[in-house]
Amino acid sequence: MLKNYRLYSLIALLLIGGLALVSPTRAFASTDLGGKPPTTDPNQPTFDAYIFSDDDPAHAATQRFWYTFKASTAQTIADFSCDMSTAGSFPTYTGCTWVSIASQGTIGRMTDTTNIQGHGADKVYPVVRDTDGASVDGYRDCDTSGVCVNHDGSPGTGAYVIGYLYGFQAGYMSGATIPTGPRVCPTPRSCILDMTPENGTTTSNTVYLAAKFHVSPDDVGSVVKMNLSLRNIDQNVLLLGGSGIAPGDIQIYFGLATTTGDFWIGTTTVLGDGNYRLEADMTTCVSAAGICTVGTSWIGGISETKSTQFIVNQETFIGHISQQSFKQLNDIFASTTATSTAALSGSCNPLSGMFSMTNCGAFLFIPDAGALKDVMTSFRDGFLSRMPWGYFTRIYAIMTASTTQALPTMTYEFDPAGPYAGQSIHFDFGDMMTGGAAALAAVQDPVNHRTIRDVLEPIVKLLVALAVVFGIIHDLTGSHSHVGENENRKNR
Amino acid sequence: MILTLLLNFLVLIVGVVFSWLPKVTALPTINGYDIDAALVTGMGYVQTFFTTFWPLQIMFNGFLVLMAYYIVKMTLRFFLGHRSPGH
Repeated sequence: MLKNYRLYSLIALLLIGGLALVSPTRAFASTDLGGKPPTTDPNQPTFDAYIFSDDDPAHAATQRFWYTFKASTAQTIADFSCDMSTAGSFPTYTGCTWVSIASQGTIGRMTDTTNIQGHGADKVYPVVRDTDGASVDGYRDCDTSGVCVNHDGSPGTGAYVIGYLYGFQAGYMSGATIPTGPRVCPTPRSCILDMTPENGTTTSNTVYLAAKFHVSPDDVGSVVKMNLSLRNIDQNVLLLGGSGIAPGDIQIYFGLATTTGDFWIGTTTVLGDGNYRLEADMTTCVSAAGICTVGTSWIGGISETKSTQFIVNQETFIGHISQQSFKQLNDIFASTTATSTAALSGSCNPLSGMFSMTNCGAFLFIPDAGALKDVMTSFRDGFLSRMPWGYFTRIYAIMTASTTQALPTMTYEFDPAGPYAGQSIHFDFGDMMTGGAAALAAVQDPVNHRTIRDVLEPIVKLLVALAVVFGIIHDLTGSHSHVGENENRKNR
Repeated sequence: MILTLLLNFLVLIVGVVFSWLPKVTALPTINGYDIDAALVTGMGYVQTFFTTFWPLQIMFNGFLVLMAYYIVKMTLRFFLGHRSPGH
């Protein structure tokens, strides 16, 4: 252990440095802005920012999320959108940058291309759509007693909720573009468009559970069954009988739709900590009227299932395993041409027309990188994060994080009784470093116009890689002495 | 799929065996000093420093690889004792 003194020295150095910087006696190093106005860019207008998934067919874009702003000086709404990744219905956004989002009491909620999920909200506002002509499309503000007012001041009645806004204090966004195209099903048939919470998200104990079913005009005339159910999949239920809901599905909704349109089905409920899976399925029946009733076979038409897994507050180890296993199976299904469990198992069945030794072997024996990563994640959560070795894992996690922290500024004020009374010296280390970086980048090779970094970085990387490899080899081969040498020394 | 399920099963067993141990989500606070916050803050400053002085970032990444190696070695030593490689 002693020979790892360099490692421990660096950790100790970081600890001492960190302690010195967050120490109350070194207030100049703190970046606490509590009680002060949040930082804003003077060149940008300041808004009360609201973020939500727009459900209006006239506005909504395929796989896009919209950001609606209400200017702080007027009750008007303008829609903007960032350029979204198309993977998933709650994607990470790019192309627009939240320069500074400051909610009440905290600072720096979101920067750069952070996914908006999981960052909390100061307040949640229902998004409503007019149903009786007396109300408006927009958002609704409700007080703690449940009395609501629409954004234009009209009474908050006569409309139904289609989504939720998340309100922040004093944020602004740049690079906004206006999206085009509606959010649609991949085929003309009915489908499940969206689910809330999104897959892999962590929520508070009060959870909004919802699914959006689209009943296509092509399916008008048939009977469409819509089902939404919730399952607790964590170890509290499986092993201990638990803090959450009972094992098995809790049916949130079961209904038949006979008209076309979009149907948001959802409810808000309080759940215990743990891992949950929300499953939605819809089936159309094309049989003659009178045959398709609840409890009978649903033949023909479409059969679609969608699920989302989420964590309420803190996941459990077995819940994590359950989530990951389920995800792996779904990934395997998605990576093959099979569209169902029966079709997938058909690749391993010699009697089926889909038999393929290669596909079957790959399916059975070759774990993909994602699956191995999930296993390692489970190992880290279940073993490596436990005491006492969990402290090493935590230190490693902190040291591998890429989050930067603005360097502290320091101001020295001269003695009020001295000749320089009222004057001060201000040190901004961030500015110094920015200037240094600009100076380094300005030095370029006159022929190829390459900076010092462009030229030297590959060489430095190579040298460091060689040093690391030789260090590991030296440790493995030189950590024990040769038996023959010891015997020779004894014989001398 | 079989290998994945086997690995999952092994990890599940290990996780259940050690599930009685407390989970470390943050380093402790000693005498009012939040060591976790201190290290996070300190590393944040270091990462900011690295954005300009990039060779240090590369060297630090190399150090992290070595650190990961030592953690793996310690884990193997925990499970295998004197049979671990390099013992």
